Amino acid sequence: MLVLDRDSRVALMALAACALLLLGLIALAGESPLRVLAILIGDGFLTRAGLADALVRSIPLTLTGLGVALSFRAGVFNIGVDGQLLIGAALAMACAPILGPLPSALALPLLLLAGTLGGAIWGGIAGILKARFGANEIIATIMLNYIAIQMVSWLIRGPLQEPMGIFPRSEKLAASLRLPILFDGTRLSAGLIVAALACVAVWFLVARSRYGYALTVTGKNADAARYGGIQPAVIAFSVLCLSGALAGLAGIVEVSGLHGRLQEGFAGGIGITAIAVALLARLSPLWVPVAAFGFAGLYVGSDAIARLTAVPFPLVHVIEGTIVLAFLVLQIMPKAKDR
Amino acid sequence: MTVPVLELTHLSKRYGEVTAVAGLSLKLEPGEVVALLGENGAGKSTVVNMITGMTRPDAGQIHLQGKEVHLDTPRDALDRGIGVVHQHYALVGNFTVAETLALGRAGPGVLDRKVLHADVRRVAERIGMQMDPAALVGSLDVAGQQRVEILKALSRKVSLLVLDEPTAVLSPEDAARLFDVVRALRADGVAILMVTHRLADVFAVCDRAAVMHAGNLVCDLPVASATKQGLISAMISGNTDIAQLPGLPGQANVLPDRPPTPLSDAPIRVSVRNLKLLRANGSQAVQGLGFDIRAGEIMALAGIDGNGQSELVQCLAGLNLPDGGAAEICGCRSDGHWTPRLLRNAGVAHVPDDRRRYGIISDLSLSANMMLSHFFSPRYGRLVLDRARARDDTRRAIDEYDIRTTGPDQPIGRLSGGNQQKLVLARELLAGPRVILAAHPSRGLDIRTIGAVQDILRRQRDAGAAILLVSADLDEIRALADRVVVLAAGTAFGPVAMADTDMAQIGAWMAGHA
Repeated sequence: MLVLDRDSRVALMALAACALLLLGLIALAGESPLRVLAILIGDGFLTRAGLADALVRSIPLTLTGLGVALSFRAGVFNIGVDGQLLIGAALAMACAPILGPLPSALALPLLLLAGTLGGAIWGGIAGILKARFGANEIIATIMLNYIAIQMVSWLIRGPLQEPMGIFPRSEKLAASLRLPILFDGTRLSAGLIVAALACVAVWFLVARSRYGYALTVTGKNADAARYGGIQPAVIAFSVLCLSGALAGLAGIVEVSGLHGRLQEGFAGGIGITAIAVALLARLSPLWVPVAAFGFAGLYVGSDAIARLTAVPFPLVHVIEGTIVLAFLVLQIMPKAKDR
Repeated sequence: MTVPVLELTHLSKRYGEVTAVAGLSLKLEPGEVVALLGENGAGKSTVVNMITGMTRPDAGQIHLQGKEVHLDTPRDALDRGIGVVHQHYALVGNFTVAETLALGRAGPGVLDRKVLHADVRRVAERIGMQMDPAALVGSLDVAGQQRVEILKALSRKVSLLVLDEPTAVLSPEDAARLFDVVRALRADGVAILMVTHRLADVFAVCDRAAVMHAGNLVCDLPVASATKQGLISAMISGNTDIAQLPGLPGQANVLPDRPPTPLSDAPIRVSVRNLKLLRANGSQAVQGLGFDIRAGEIMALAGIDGNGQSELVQCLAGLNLPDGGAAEICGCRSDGHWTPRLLRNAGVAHVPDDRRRYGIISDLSLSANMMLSHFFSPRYGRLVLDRARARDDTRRAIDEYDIRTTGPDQPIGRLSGGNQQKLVLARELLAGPRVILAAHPSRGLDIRTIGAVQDILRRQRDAGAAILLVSADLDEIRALADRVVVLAAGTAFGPVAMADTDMAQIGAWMAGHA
């Protein structure tokens, strides 16, 4: 018989609770839940176009979900994924003119590196505020989100704006700086490979490395970490840098692999979804891509539902909210029963 | 004939493959004080948990005042007049005593502090207890916090009070005061179940002694007809026949293996000069403390809990900086870099007094906990963790220290406190430390394990370790220490060689008399 550990049971129960609520809401919107479900699953996961689209959307969710999982493991709540993602993309775009003339095999990794660095810097600012001055990282990262949004908004109307100067957006990336498309006729880029590699790297970090052990210990008992010689402040700073780095990488992968240029709101809301992804994956790096793919499929399917039925698109936001909420509730409930 | 307050019949509880309690039957009459004795892991805590609604029994019945009850939650137990004082207190530090008692019982609206304070005084006076209702709980010492827990339990109507290891953290005077409270409650007709390791408690205040061994009740007899040897034998071997008493390694009459004369030419490992330490709340814990510990010497730090022992050990372990004066350990100086990492690398081992806060991570496995203290040594690898080696070390520790567990992958939080402590000890002594800071290393352990721990410390000393032994137990100090320094009321007495002093002198110092 398959025996599940407590965390897995919680994850499954969260999904089940979510599905039930969803069916109820669809019925409220005056549609047949079965028909909506068929469209959701059919268009989200079962058609070639839907599947490709779901994979496209799952790339940034995987990268940011990994970052959130890392920081949450250390008990550090990085809510600033959106800002880190934007700054990563912006820094990489600022470097693009210098990298353009280089051969693609060299320029593309450097571009991704620039994005990673940008995200790490933005996460690191929150990290310094926390480690040095004891600032609450939740507040710090949320506030840094607003600063990042305004900064990018200014950049694409100023220094980074396309030469035509009409639309608030950057110039298109040179072809040598674009991530290649993996399958003809889809928008699926090599960003998928980047995300897969990141999964393996983060898994190794968490499960095999000393640093991963320090993260887990700090997250579970900061006093014991101090007793063992680990400095929680150093862990908080470094994990915010790492988490930001993954978000920044997600940002430039979105630009280089999908949009080709920086524009406003190109990755809105990813930060919140990333939290839902990380929680659903129980903060385990190998489950993050699975959870990310699930959410991506929901998004694609919800697009189709909005087109074909009376159920509006924000339904998918309800799903996200329900998952996070169901998790929080179910994390507490079994503790009362587990005796 | 009176109706028993509590009657347990054939109570059983299993956790997985382990039988914690096997068909236990026990009766408590009104106004009776019953001691529940047993080694670590004998099942005492499980019995308490079942009586207090924390755990549901797998089989058997619980009768209260003659009626069968099902205690599904702690609330059920409270509502039926069962009060508990747990070993680990659940108090809010910045509440006053009166507010603490109102917690969870006061209705909505404004708290009437005058009424509350009067209530507290009334309950306290009933059992002859001194208590300021306006005192902040966080400002009380351990004994004071325990009194708050007792008041909390008594502020409801209780017919049964369960005391879980009540004397474990108390000084002898505070324990005596606790026993006065117990006697007052007994006179009031309250039945008391006292879970304990200490035989002294049994003979001081209990009417009956019930001994558990490996989940079974092996004897239940009036204290008047019990002997110390008989109870020890029952606890250790589950046998009530004194003739079969095995050799007891943990008795205080075991003499040190060699005369307690420190080698005066051995290198000084720990040096403390004019040390001043403040508590977290800013009050002064230690002032003007000075001593050296040489290699191959055990220095006992005696004193009633809360006289700065925790602060001193945490300072020497690198967790805090001195607030005045200086400390030096193995060439590390407190005015230079002074961190746990640095000191651990220099060979300092630290057995913390607050195990659950500092010593273990409950959710993680035994082997993961094993790595905690050796994180910055190359023992388990520099970049990649050598988990296999950690598991091997853990397996060896499980054998060597007789840790009751399903294996190195079990979460340490599932183990009983004594078994957790054994793992902490095994971990700290793993790498052959040069300095051992041992804060109450045998607190909460059973007699057999205490003996083993004391043997280990002696062996470490003979191998050349400098040991600071924090203890409130004079027997332990007599059994182990070469020299002793006493902390009392912010001042330090000694150090003095054990040969040049006696227990009366140390006792007087602990009470603050020069």
